[in-house]
Amino acid sequence: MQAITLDPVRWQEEPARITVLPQEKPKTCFQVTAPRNIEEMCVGRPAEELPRILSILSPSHHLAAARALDSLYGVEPPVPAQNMRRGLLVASTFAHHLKKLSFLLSSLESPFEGHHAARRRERAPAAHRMLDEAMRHASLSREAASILGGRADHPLSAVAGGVSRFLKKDHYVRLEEIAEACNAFAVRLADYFQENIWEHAGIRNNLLASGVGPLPALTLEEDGKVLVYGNGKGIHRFSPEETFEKIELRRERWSYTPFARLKEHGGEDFSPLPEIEGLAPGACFFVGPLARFNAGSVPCGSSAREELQRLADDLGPFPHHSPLAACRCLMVELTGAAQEMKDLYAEPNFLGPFTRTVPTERGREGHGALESPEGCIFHRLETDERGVVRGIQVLDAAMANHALRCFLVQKTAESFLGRRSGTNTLKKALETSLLPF
Amino acid sequence: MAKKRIAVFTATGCRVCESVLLDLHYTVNPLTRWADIVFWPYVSGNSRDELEKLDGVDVCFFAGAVRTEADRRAASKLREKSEIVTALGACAAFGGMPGLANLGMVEGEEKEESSPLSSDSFPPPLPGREPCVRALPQVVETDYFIAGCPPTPPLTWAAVQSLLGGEDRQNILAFATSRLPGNVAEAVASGALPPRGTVFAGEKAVCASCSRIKEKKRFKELRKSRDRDADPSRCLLEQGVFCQGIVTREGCGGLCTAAGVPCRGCFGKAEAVYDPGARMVSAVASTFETLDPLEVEKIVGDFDDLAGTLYRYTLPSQCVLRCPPPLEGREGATCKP
Repeated sequence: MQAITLDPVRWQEEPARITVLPQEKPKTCFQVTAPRNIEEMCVGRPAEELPRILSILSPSHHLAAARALDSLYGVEPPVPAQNMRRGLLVASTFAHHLKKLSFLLSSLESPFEGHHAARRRERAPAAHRMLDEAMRHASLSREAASILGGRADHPLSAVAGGVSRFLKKDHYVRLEEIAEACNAFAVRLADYFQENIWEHAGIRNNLLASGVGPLPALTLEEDGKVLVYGNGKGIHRFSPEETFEKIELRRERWSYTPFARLKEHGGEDFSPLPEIEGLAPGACFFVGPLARFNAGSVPCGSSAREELQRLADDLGPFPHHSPLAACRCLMVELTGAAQEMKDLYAEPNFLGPFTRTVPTERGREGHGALESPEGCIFHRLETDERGVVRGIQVLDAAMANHALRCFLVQKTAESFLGRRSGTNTLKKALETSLLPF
Repeated sequence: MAKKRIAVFTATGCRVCESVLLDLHYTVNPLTRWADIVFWPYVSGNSRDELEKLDGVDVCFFAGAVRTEADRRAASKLREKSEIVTALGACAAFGGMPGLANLGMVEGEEKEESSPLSSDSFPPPLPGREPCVRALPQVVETDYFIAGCPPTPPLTWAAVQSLLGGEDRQNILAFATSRLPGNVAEAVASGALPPRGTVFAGEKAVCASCSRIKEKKRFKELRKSRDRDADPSRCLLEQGVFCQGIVTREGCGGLCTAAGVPCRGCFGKAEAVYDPGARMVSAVASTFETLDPLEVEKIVGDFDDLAGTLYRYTLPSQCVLRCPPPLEGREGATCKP
């Protein structure tokens, strides 16, 4: 029987391939098809260069690497610097979630399929207007990130002990304008999705068909501890320094990036290939927005709390395990991030010339952990006596959560092939179900 | 006028260069007035198989470095199908940060992989790694370059207008052309294609647009950025911070130095420079006056990781001593642009 292949997979940040062998119990796999080789890029570089190098992964990795440097040099950033770093993270969260929700919207009305804008406006005026508005506000949030990080995509400003420049008055004023606009837009977007998207039969079917069942949630708590919120096996807390004792990065020769697995939640016979009977996804986990709300996180601001209530009214109380819930959690966090931008950018302690504590000591090992828009991130680095990196371990729990993707692909294939859906329907369902993770 | 058919593809790299194009689409909506997007896997979900069946492409934007055999095949196929191939971003243009992996490779020696999967196995085998990371012009002939990691929206917009606009360009924006060399700006404004090989960036070095005050040409010791804060108004290099603005192509407007951190060369070498690392070493060495061997040794010892710093974004294509051997048919392409 002919295999169904998606190569590459739409909307995935890494080059990836999905293969489905349609048979009575379909055989499926999700593979990352290009290496990233973080170690090769980082080992041998001076430690202070790491935030810039790792920023190619995401703005959150830039900030996590800066935290690892703070720990390496034993310094604490002054309050304005902490606010600027937090401000960058919040702006990046808004941009990240908005991009994913825009992709979800464009699955109904793609602006890139050769239609004339006028025709699109005629056919789906509200979707067209909302997509345009979404991308305009994504640009605004990226402008805020540029002000705070030097650049929106590969930021520069977080350095050991703080940030490399202070904010000017006109930047401060502009940040407030941006936050105001983003906050108002987030409320409009949430209303639009409530009325038009969450009830849309096509989207709902795609997103509910691939729920993978109860899984633990992996998040960072406020006090910086890693929290594994259980799936009937209790709640575990451990310090970020213990991360690599609790989470194994397992290499498989059929994917270029390793599979993260929770050691305590899965047996030794863990396999990320889901068609093997008897191997439940016990070592898999959720990260990111869905994990945070499954673990009891409370969003910032009344709009976000209202959005969370709408989610609960629609899908029932937490915990949830479906891609639909994951998408709705993106919306809750987006409204929360907009509110936080507004609150934070009006913070008087945002300004000030003292944005850095210059390190005076130099350690040999540093750690940095961060709850990023995508999920929890952890960096551990070791340096030699000159401060040159000799070893680095990077865990991006979302990026390394391929076992979850494998299970989502399997569930979606089983569900859609069982209904004798066409190949295009299956492909669209696979793309949509992976989008929020 | 017939719309241009465009393709966008990322090999090994992040998705940020594609995001710059995605942003442009909305910023200058509608880009689709000029162009039909016929192949864009990240956004439109096209598969590699569709690439085989494509009728023809007017302009291809290729991002990312060539790291795997699948990247190389995609580059060749897109070259075959496209009238114009444009390297989008530092990874495609120069090898970018993924190119640092070449520092760990012995020339001519491929890294040993774990036993490969057979072609009929399940899961299917992965595309194999190339012996080293290459920039796009080292693999296929490349017509234009949009530099930067990531490329700046104004310069990307200038390139898009220039390559896609044809005769229907009413929206020429002055800001987009203000940083381009005169002949390229004129081409953009007049509707003619710029000369092949054009880099959509300035010709001079970053120092030309850096707002920091330059006074003395010499510094006495290397300052590690971890140890002290630099004066926010003065030239970083003059303060002993290893800033590569003097050898890097201008176009970003001194973005890094304005943020208080040194330039690391993501726009590649300036037009007049042959090897950016060699030029940087020469420039820095000339600022020290000592002839005392012990002092020279101490100064040299203060520099860490010269190769990884000097060629952070350009190791595969602009380091004369470490350029990978050219592929068949691409001899002489190793140090361009």
